[in-house]
Amino acid sequence: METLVILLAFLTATPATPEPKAAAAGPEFAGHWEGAIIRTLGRDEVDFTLDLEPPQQAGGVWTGKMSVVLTGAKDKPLDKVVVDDSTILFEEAVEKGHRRFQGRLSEDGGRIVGEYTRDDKKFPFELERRTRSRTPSQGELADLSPDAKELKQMFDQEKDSVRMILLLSPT
Amino acid sequence: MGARVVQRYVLDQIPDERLRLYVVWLPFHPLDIRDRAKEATLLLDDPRVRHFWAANLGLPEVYKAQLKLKDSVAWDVFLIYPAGATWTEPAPVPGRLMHNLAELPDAQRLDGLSLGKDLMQMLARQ
Repeated sequence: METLVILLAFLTATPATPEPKAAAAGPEFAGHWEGAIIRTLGRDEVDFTLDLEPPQQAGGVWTGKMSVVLTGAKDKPLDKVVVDDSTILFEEAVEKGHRRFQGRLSEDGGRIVGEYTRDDKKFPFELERRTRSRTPSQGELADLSPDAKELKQMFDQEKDSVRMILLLSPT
Repeated sequence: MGARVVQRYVLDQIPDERLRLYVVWLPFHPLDIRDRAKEATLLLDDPRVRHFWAANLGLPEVYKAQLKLKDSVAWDVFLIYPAGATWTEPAPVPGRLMHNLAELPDAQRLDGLSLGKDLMQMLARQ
């Protein structure tokens, strides 16, 4: 709840004396972003990533691609990206409508927070600037014997650690 | 979805090297095959995580009995063990449990904020 209050305060805050911006405002939005739509904080969050590119020429438009882990959507081009000063609007067409994201860049340029809208539903979203160079650990998957002996062995070998066992479906 | 909550509120927030996660990917649904599990390892991307693929539901059946579940085997469950706990047959009783199951108490439903806080407290007590 506290985070939501801070988020709302941040979104509604207006600087008393806005600083003049350069004509080509917005290049700080360019790059790779990772975050989530927060349907219920800490419980129900939909991850997505965003890649934004500034206009390639004067009078051009911003472009972007979005990936959503939950749906399997990968680098889907956005239909609309509008950058204005420290705010951004981006939209993705979906069946029967659009997903709309309206956000604001943090002062340090490292975060975008805002509101996601689809139909009459609104949720906050957050994005953090990341680099794409992170090395994922895909492929490190060990087969577990029927008696789970590999897990038991590791559990006891690492008994000095705080441990979690997660039983999950991959779909 | 639970996996990403754990990534964001546990792995991304707690850099402590004394933390270990064992993720057992299981065939709960017809499309749950090993290749999908391999792709799903990306959802929990951290060197402190060990990923397993179990071709049968033996472990969830064990936890079903331990958690006194009636309707389903234990899946989408997050079992937490303090330092010092060792394996006891048929499976060690967790110090704390979180889940996304309808038949277990709402108070134990997966909450990333609460989970992260609990784990940090357990690590601080070591």
